[in-house]
Amino acid sequence: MTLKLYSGPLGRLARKSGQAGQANTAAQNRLNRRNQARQTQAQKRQALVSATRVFSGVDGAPRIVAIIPLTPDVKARDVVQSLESVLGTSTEQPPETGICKLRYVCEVTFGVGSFADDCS
Amino acid sequence: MEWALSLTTAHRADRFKTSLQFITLPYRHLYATLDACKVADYVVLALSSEVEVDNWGDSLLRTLQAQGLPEVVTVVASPSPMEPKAKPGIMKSLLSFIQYFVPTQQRVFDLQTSSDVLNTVRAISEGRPEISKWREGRTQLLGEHVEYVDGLLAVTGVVRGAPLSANRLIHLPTYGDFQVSKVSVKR
Repeated sequence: MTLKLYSGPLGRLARKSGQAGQANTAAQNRLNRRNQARQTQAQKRQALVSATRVFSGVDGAPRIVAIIPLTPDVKARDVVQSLESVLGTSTEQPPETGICKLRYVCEVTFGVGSFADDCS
Repeated sequence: MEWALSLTTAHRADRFKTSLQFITLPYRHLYATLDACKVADYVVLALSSEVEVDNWGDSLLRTLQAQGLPEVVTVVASPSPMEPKAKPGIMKSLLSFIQYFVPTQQRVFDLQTSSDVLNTVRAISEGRPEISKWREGRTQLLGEHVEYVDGLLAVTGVVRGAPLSANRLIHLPTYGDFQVSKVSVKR
């Protein structure tokens, strides 16, 4: 009896198992396992994408970051400036205390300073 | 609410593909800090390499621990760079200090080092922040812009958590509960 095995996105499906059951269970199991693993991986990736969908895009919700100084010599404004410096944004002064927004943030250079040096 | 100013800066580029909104808090303002942590997706705890955290800071951390913190990123923001020899010791002690309050912390980022700054930004821009369970079903809104319009207080912001219902009361921290007159979408 012929056995049709489909591998790939449809997964593995034995149409007619017939007499060759014993030899096929090993292959069956392996394909089942692989499909399972593939599905779990896809689900995990999908879960991350859907969870971050709120934040992504130009009109996505901004991620709210609270900067809390724990000692008197640390200023939240300086922390924000250091973080913004990496992003290459030319911003207005962040407030000493308050809210400041970076819209659609990205990283502009890789190794900080190296690109600029090479290009000059 | 008086301390909430609003500044927006527009910057387009490509890598992290997200917007960030920073709430800068003054030192020793307990209630402002607590309120900010209620709405924040990320909390950046800024330590110093020169000054130890005092009793007030300790109490603040315990209070935040009790309230429930979202995703935490710890940084060292010192006015001057650390001595290379002393640095590993300082970083280690700061990490163990913060791990007492937030056990999930794996490392402390040094804002004097550019690679660490990048890693900090990456930590707050990528992935999904872990939020306290009690926030899940609640509607929250950070007031980006607050003004009086026709005798009513108009608060503008992004609604988070659960959908905003006009039939339910709104709680303004330190001011109390209020009825909603109108909900409108600002384009």
